[in-house]
Amino acid sequence: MFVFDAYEAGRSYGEHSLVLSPDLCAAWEAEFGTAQGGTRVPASMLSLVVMRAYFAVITPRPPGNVHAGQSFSVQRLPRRGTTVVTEVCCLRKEMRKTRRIVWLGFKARDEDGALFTAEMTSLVAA
Amino acid sequence: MMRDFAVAKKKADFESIERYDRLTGDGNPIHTDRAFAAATEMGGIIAHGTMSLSLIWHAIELTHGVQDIEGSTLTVRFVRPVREDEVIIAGGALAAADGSAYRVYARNERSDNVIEGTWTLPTD
Repeated sequence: MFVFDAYEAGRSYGEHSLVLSPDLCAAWEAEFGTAQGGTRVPASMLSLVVMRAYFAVITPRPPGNVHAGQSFSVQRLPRRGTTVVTEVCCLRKEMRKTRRIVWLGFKARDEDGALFTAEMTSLVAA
Repeated sequence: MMRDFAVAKKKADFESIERYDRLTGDGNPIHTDRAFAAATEMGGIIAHGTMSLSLIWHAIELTHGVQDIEGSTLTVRFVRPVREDEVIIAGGALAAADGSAYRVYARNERSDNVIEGTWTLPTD
């Protein structure tokens, strides 16, 4: 169980692969609009890549975690039909009074190299 | 140089929250189980925070396009939840005179920020 004590700063917890298939892109764009960039997926799908990786790798989690913050540094947007591989790691953790805060790092790449990095700030429930 | 983003809007009705939950694989019952959500401190269904975050990205892309997104950085904090049936409104405004930074937001219909953050472009 990914409780606060289980996280280790600097540790990688594994990778998740996500195929940005035509069906997935169509379903996403039906919710958030069509990408402006032709062969590239919408920038809004970066959130999807991160969350899919988080749910797949950081599991099981205690109920009640709060997603407090998020950042992205984008090198390239992924292309439609490609596979994005995202590594998830713990960057650091800290107790602030009663709050258990964990910062998770995400590194996403495709077959051509680095796509983006992201950082999630999570208030861990236990 | 754009001062304000094009605005992106989305209603967080139950069906859209359910669809988003399936797309992301979240599975937290606070988003899709009315009885469960009612018993939490939230008192009811709330939308996923990243639903509003995705809308901010859409507003950025509508305004600036792919060429400015590649090389940029987006940093946000989640301020308050979006309640079921609220309309999320995402946008941004110029924060640096040289066009390198924008304050971004997602708001509800009462103009309460649900997300606040900054989008920065690389300076030449």
